[in-house]
Amino acid sequence: MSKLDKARLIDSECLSGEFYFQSLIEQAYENMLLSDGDIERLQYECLNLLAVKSEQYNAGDSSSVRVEVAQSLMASILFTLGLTLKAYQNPGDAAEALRNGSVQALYERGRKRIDTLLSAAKVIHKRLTDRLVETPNVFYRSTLVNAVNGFFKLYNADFAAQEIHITADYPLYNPVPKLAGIEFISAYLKAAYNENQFLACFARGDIHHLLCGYAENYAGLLMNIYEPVLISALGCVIANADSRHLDLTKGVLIHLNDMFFCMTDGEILAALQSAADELNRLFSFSPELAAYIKQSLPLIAKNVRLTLKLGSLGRVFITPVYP
Amino acid sequence: MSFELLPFASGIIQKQAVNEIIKLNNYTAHYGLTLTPQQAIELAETRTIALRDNGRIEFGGGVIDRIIREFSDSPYLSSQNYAETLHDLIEAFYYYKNETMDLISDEDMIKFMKISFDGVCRGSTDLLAGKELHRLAENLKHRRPADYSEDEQSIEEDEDEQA
Repeated sequence: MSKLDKARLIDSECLSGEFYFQSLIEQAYENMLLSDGDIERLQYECLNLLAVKSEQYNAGDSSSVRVEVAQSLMASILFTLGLTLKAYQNPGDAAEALRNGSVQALYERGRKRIDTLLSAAKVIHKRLTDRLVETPNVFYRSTLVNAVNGFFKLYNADFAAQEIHITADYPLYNPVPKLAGIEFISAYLKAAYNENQFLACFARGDIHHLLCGYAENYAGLLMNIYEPVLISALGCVIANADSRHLDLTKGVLIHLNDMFFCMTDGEILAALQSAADELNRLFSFSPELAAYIKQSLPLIAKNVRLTLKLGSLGRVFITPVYP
Repeated sequence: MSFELLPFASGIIQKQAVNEIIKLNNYTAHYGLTLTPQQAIELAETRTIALRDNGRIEFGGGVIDRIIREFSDSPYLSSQNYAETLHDLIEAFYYYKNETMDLISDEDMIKFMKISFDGVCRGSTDLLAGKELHRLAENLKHRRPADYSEDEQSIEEDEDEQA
């Protein structure tokens, strides 16, 4: 069987982002890329690594650990191995590495990868907190600053690499993939950084008035701030209104309603895409932010279509309120 | 096929433990104490059951090895009661490992067991498990010294009052 054939045997869609190692083993075994002997060797080597980790965990004081501790240590080992295997170009190559490499060597590579991800996440977090948009919404700062700091304090790459520790209450608009440990926090922080970068393009007062239009008590609501601001900015561009100040008046809303009403789903998405391109020209977004916004558009288009049908487009395109 | 490690682990660990127990016969023979392969298997099984009942997992020979080495010079051990006593000591060890909330190291706990077994318990594993190890667990839970005794404390207080 050629290398290309082997690579195609495992469908990436069948692999779990959260439990990558276990899902890869299962897929590789089902597709006969790993034999019973390979599985037994991998189990034996993982067990030896668990014995070493248990001893380190107990600092040599105790030769036994509670089963919950052993399970958590094993989850940490498998998560770390998964990180190494994800770095391969395709799952077939990763299965090949499992067949030919030692668990210890794969683990050490994964452990180094955690350190790299951790350092990168700290840099992103520093940049995020340095430019964090001021908002009365309590969840924005408490999650993006305090909770993430809590994660960095609690995270233990040697014994609990798979743990997230925090609940990451503040909801981001684009769904964060199902991941674990530092991988999840990295993805969460990258998305939060993009959303904050976008919000930073607008004046604090303009965002505040827009959010008051959403709900006057928005300060205590667990809501995403990026969504109404992005939608408002897109609406202003489509209706030739002042997008820099999110000045989406009732007149603009009527105009948008008339425009969208005659459009197909594809045309709505195209109009939003074109408006996003215009915003990009106006604010010179980073390529990452431009891509993030592009990823948000299908869901926005879906909500526009839904609220048009219900005659409540004003629930998507918010009109600012000046209390 | 699922990659389940912990059930797989117990089989391998038990095999390792039996081999290590048998090897120790070279050391304990000096004290007239040896175990047959069957007795070694039974001890490893007792450990497996004790670990399972107490929700713990252990690698290698673990504490059986240490218990055998520590207790082999006890005046209360003979070839007649050697294996039976080891079963009791292993069961008591894992039970009290949980009861002491892992606040004491294996080494210190085994030393405490040996001193009590040879001392106040006079070779009784019932007294060791029922009284001395219970006292140890209570002391550790209440952050008192491991050898603290309320009986001795009240005697000392009575003496102070009389003085």
